[in-house]
Amino acid sequence: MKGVWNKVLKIDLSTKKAEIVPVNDDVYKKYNMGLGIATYFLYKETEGKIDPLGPDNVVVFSPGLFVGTGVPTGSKSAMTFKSPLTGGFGRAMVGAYLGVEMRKSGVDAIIIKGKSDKPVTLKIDNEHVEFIDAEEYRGLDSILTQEKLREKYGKTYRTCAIGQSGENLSKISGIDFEERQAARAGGGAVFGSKNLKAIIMKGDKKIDFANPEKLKELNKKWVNIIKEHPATKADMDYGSGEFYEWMNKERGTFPSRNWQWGYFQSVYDNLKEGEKSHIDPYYWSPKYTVRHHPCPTCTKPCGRIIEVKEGKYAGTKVDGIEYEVLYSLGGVLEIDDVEAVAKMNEICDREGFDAISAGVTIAWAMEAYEKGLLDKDKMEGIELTFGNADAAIEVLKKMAKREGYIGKLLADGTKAAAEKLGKNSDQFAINIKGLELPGYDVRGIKGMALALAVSVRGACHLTAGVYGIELGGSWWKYKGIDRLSSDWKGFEVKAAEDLATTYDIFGLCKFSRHMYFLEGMPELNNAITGNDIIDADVMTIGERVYNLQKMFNIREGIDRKYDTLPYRVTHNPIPKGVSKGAYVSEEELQHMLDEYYMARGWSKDSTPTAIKLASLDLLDVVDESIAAGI
Amino acid sequence: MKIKVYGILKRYVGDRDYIKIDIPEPTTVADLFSKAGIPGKYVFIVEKNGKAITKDITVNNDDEISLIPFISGG
Repeated sequence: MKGVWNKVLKIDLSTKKAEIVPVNDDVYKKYNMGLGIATYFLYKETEGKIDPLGPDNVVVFSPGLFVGTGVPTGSKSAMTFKSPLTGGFGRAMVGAYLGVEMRKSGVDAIIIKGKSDKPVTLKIDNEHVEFIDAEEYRGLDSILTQEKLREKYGKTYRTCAIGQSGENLSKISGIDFEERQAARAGGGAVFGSKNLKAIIMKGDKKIDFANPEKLKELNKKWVNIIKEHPATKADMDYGSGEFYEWMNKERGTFPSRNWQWGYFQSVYDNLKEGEKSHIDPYYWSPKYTVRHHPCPTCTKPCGRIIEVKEGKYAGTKVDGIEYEVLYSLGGVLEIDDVEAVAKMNEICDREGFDAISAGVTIAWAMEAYEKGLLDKDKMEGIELTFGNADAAIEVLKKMAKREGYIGKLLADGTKAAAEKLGKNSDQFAINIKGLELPGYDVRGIKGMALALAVSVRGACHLTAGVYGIELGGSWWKYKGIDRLSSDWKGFEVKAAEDLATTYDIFGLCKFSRHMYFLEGMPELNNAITGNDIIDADVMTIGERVYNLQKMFNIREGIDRKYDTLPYRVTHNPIPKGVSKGAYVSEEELQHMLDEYYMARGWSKDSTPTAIKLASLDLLDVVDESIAAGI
Repeated sequence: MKIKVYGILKRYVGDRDYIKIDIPEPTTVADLFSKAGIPGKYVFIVEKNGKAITKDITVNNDDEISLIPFISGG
């Protein structure tokens, strides 16, 4: 098949050996690239019930098919692993330049298993692997580590590394790829458990496209479509937080104060009419932006480098601030000082934390502190109250080092912290399956509540990405969606998950999904590979890959019981703002789950049926004995 | 009529949160855009008194209208 290498690179850190393994065309036809083959190889190369922080866990990294092909916003690579945070399927997508090098290297994925006896960096030149001692980088932050590696080996290498939180096996740590993060679900700890500090890679081969002229023509067409699209300018000028004010004021679904509120009113209390909240990108982006920081082949970069030049946080320089971080290091901590948010964002990136999970975990601790549940004698004088940015910063640094009472308590996220503390603190621990929730108050967005409840990696907003459909009421084929209704949401979420999965397979950024939709993908795939697929095939591939992710979880015993919502979402209505009174009752959740499993072709306990797996041609991979019966 | 404006649409109304215009006769949303000086292609959602409507619907002087641009988010 054109457009791929028909090879993957398997690396064993225990034996320090690497081998090239051929892959036949059928695998690509069924799973394509990116998240597709990364799911396939993770499932194949692992057994159920393995220790996620043991040598048997596997990390698979694969760039999407469109990466390195010139397709605009074809930027994303997939990383899969068993998650130490959820115990289930771990996935993190990232706009990685290292992925572009891999597309030119002669292999379509790397599969890493085992455990090195000491810290190691993988240096990969095309298909050749060297195991380099990484002792000198131990304890260094993720960004500095990569800078030093590029200084030593050359700037043509593209890189990734973990920070201290990953080395210390924090279950909420991720991997930094030149200031873009594969952040969620604890991949940093999996690297750390293998003593894998960094990867550097360089490729110099040329991908053989089936129809290079057609590809060139299509790329030109999409560059123009994206350039003319009404969302492009807003994304470029203000980033992903562009709609923050609307989310907060007009929808009342911006979670704040550890989800005690769905409307962050206090940011407006001291403002005159017309003045902007300081965490609103319309306030801070023009003031602090130094330059755009695009992912590979992005022609509408929402990423930006911002710099704080004066004041107590002077010297802070970070890629951000994304919408999710405005929530997790802003609203949910009741902090509206954007310079403090930037500082915490920088610490998260350098220490290697998932900024969503880290912020939501500190919010949990603030509520516990204010309720008198934490041992104040062991807090080393830190007044961890809502709105106290300096306290949050200090705690974040302690979490990275697992230092002191509070650092040790919080280092593994809200689920582990609430289990350790007890005292009913799980009732305000904002996670699903262990993964902390993103910045959408799903009490007032019921389809999104279902999407978070059923997502295979825990509370992930991009597994289905239905927030736009729900909040806007229409998108693509969807029309007349009522965000406060729990009806028909199962079908809405199922189709959205399958579509979103295809974006992770092709490596298209989901922030261009209102440009490509589904219809843009087949002809790009066909120009690259020479296959002749249609839109229905694309959705089938998405559905197949999603079902295989689900079977990974079923193999781990993660079934309907785990498709749930935080206590706060099902018991505490939003107290003020436009969505006042909204919550998701237990009955509504069960109603939506029943409908979703029916839409999926899964049993009532959420197990894919043998018929469904056969229809998706998955029975050669999965163990049929764990499928639901006929 | 009060027209609340969000996100990038504010730049077409002097960076204000809302504008007030007078429409003596009922008019369609599409006509409203030209009266308010807002390019219709940038408007993703139109709401009349909190409910989403299409651009061919007629609005009156006592309606409150919200205009929302495309949502990327996340």
